[in-house]
Amino acid sequence: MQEENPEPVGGFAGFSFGELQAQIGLAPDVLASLLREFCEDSEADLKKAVEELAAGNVRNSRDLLHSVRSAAGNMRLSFLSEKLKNADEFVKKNDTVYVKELIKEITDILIFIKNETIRRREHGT
Amino acid sequence: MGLKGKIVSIDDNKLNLMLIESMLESMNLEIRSFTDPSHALDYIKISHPDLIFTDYMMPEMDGIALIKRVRETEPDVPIVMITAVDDDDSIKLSALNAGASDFLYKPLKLYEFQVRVKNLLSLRKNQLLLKDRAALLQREVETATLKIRMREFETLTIIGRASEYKDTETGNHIKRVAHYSKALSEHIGMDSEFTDALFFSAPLHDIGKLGIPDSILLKPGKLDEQEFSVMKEHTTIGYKILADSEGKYLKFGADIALSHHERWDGRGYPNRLSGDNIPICGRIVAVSDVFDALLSKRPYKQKWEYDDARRFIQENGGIMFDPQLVDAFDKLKEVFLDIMHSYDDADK
Repeated sequence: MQEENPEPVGGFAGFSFGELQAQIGLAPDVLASLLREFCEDSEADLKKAVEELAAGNVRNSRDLLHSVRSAAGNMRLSFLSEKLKNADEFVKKNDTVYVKELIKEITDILIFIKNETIRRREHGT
Repeated sequence: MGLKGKIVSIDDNKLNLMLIESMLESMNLEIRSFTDPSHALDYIKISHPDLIFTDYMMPEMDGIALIKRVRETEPDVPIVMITAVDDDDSIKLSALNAGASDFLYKPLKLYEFQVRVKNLLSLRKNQLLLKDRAALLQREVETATLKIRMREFETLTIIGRASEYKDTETGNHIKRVAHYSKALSEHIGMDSEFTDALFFSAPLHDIGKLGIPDSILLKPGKLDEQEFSVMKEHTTIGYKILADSEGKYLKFGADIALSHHERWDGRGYPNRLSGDNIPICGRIVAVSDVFDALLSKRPYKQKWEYDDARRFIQENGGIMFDPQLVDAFDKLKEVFLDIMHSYDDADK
């Protein structure tokens, strides 16, 4: 169902604010504020997910990953959804090391999206 | 409601809620968002929203459990479950069985979402209008039914009174018998439908007296055996007058007319029925009728003292009257006194 049309921005393929805005249909300011909120909340949730996993609370960790995945899906960030789904699979397999790697990767993307959104807001591009 | 509907949105993810709020922002709606389904349920109970959106997967209570809980208090409000496209069909089926009205798939599309909200609110508006209209019609039907019932009662009372006037001119006798019978019926736990029918039909208990010659009906003093035999026919005459009717109360009146002179011990008339074989309507009217007759002056007897009349009924429990009704009669002393005073012949 995803209708992503990846457009490389700042070295990362898969996120284009303009494309996303056209797909969701929300006003740019509203979308920017949602994206920022999404990135900040998701970063915090992912950090917590790693902690829960380290403490052996697999269920809590999976709930957090699911919550972030659900939000990413709703924001049409399918590349993130896929990575989060992947992370969930490896949580199930108890592969903590790889899960941490994936979460680090996802967190980097979130930081990129946040910076990109801020940059766009500041420069109106 | 207008289009300014009240919307409740439930999702454990705050961002999803914000997205929905953003998508509805331009629609001038009142939106309340909840991450905790329990708080949402509390709010729904008191605010009666027009539309509810719920996520499926939530940690404390999933969307299906939530829908079931909402349906306990809000049977009609449209509830939309937001699911992922790849969610199992069994989830959707469970949601439908729980009472979901519709589904939306993630990721939400702004225009599709807004159109769906508009349509569902429009459905809700029509639903409420229909409900109001139905309630209005229901009230009108109830009022009309009550009017018809009161007219029917008035007609029955007049017919009953006609026979009473021919008999003893105790105009309020039939009203008292109706009220005494109603009190007894309620006291022994008969349902309201039966009690109403009894109340409206009891005035017909002596309708058969219209077929009894005046020479017997109005004879001062005791009737001889043959005269009494004719007098007893007022029960079957009354039954024949009423039994073929299609009217609920008239049919019920036929049973009362036929059975109100039966006795608990089987020595009554016309069919010498005993105990529970006597229809309960006849058993009830028997107590009411005899008690009131004892307290009334008739061509063949003087009016009894109140205490003597009560004692007569009490002493005949299990003989003439159903003991359960005599027990009720005992307990309803004050009620009977009130009825007696309210429909006193001297005041009418």
